[in-house]
Amino acid sequence: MLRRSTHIELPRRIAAYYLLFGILSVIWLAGGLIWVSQAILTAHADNGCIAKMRRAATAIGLHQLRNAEAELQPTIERLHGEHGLVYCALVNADRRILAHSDVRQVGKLFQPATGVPEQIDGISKVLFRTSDGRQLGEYALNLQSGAQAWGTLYCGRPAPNLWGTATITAGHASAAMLGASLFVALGAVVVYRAVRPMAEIDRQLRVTARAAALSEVTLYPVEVNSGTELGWNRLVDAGFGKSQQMDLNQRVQEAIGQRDEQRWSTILDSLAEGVLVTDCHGQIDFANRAAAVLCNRAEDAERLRGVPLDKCLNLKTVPDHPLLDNERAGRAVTVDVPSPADPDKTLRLQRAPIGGHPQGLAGFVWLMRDITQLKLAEKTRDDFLAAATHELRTPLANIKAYAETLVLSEMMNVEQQKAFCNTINTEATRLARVVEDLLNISSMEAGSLTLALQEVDLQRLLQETVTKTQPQMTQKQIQFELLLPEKLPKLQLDKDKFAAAVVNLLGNAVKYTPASGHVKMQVHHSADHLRIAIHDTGVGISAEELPKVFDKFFRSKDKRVQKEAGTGLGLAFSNEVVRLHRGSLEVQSELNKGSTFTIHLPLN
Amino acid sequence: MQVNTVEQAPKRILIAEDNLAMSTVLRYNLQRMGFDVTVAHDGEEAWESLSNSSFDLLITDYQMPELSGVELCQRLRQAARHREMLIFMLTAKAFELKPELVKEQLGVTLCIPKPFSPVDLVRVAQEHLGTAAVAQSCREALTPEVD
Repeated sequence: MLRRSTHIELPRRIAAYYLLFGILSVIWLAGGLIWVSQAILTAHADNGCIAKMRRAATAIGLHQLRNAEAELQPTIERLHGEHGLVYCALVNADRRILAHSDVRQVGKLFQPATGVPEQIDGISKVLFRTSDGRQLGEYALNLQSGAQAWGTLYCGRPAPNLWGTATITAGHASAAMLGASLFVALGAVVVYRAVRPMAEIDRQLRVTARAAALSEVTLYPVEVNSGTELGWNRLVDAGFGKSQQMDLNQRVQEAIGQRDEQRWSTILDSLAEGVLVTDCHGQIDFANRAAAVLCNRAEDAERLRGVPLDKCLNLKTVPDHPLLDNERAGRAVTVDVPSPADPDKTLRLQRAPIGGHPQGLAGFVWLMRDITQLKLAEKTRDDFLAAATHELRTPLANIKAYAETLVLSEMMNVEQQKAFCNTINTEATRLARVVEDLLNISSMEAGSLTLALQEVDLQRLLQETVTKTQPQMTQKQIQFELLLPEKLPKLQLDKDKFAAAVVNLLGNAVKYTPASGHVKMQVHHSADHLRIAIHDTGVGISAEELPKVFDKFFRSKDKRVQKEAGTGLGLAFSNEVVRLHRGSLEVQSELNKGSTFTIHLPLN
Repeated sequence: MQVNTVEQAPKRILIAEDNLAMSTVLRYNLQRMGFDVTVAHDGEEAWESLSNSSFDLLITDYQMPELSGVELCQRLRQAARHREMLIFMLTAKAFELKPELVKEQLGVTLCIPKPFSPVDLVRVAQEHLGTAAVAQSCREALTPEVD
């Protein structure tokens, strides 16, 4: 309904309408005035004419009575002479002109005017137009003598026409007309000025009406001239205009949104794992601090926003990485890549699709973790498994091989049979030890190696360990020395495990010391510290192997060590037990000279 | 069981095994079957022996000091004169290894996981070295295993 092209401002429109209707009214009134004037004039004219005609008729009647026909003409002429009549005619019943204002007409046949007669007070009036265009009214008064109509008196008089009337009226009423027009004009001005302040409000409302979305519209206050503007301004200030409200709402939403984003950002930044959000094409929308650090872009203020992920991680060098794989877009995917920060480190990326989007995929969320340690642990575990497998299967293979060979023993002499059986025995023992150590290690690995602490008489415990290793010592003729202080404190220890640890160390000392060597166990203690030192004059440990001596499955490459049965787990076990007792195991050694293993325990 | 040696010269077998007990029992079983057995206690020793004389079969352990079984095989395959050598690989890593891969990459004819039956090993060796008849009599001597 609103037409944009012909929009005129409100005040002008109102003024225009006002003027239009005002002027129409004035014109109408003017017309009415003229009409009224005309009616009055006509009536006046009629009356005047009628009056004259009656007087004349009376006179003619008198003349008729006196048979003074000669008087008729002068009477008519006198009648005509009176102001306003165009012609007068006295006509007899045969319509012969008896007297006429125009003398030459006397005796002719009178042609009455044709038209619709109007009866005025007994006189019929007919309006007609002459040949030269004048509007005349012909009045006809029937003359009667007694009861007999003997003739008609006709008078012609100019009928007032509109133009004439208008001219007259205008002449007389010009001041009134002018006054009326002036009032209308003044009124238009007043109206215009009254409405003009509304123009701006109207314009803003129109803009609002045309706007595609209310959020695009801004309303402004207007200059205050009246209550209307004041009211408008109050609404604008109150943000009542929907557009203002939208702005306010938008602003509030943005503030909330920002705060939310801030909040989530803070939460995600607290994670040690990297979290990234990318779009479907791998461009980063968000990266938390950990992710930025892992990508070696910690100082990047924009946090990698807009950077393609594969560029960030140099993923193109990794074959088969998920960003190249769109088939699996809907599923979670994991890939390990070298860290861009350090090529020796490995990062694990886990990708999950972000759902909830009507068109399907809204993007991906990535978890990023440094798994270098994990991989190291995995490698250690794998190494452990490999070593354990080997250590179990080797003696087992020997046992089986020898046993099977013994079955075919017809060709074997008794000595040989015995030797084979011994081998089986030895291997079985070895296997048993490996199994034992593995079980211990498994407990340690699983973290279930716990200490069952009890008050232990250390002296007795140490005595027992010596007793246990006595056979080997005797067999090898090892010289053993046990040095204990006068009084040993009572300790809170796990008796079995601690004893096993000491037996390990003692057993090693004996095992790796050649015959007739020396082994010494010496105990020192102070107020807060206990030391148990086991010293041997055995093969010793080379400087390069010394740091690895407590590693699981480590066995020296030294042939003298390799010759002896050993799993490489004993020292690892002892070390762990001592550590669990909040102590430490120390080693000092010189190749070919001997070794000293010292257990340090805190006392409290 | 006295074995009649075949008319041709006894087949020469080289055992590369660092575990003394294992090499001893292998030597015993193979010699009993009439093979000429040499034992090397590590990879280097084995290589030396191979360089000095020729053998019909190499039985080697997977893990050995100095030169591992894998490296030994690789060397052999690179050397022209040993390229076609028959190799059996003993290993404690039975299922962790991919036997097909080992066979393919190193040209190993047979992967034998530990623990194994030495009688079976001897039989297989005889099959490959063409002394099948003797293998049969060995099998008969064995009591059936009870699982």
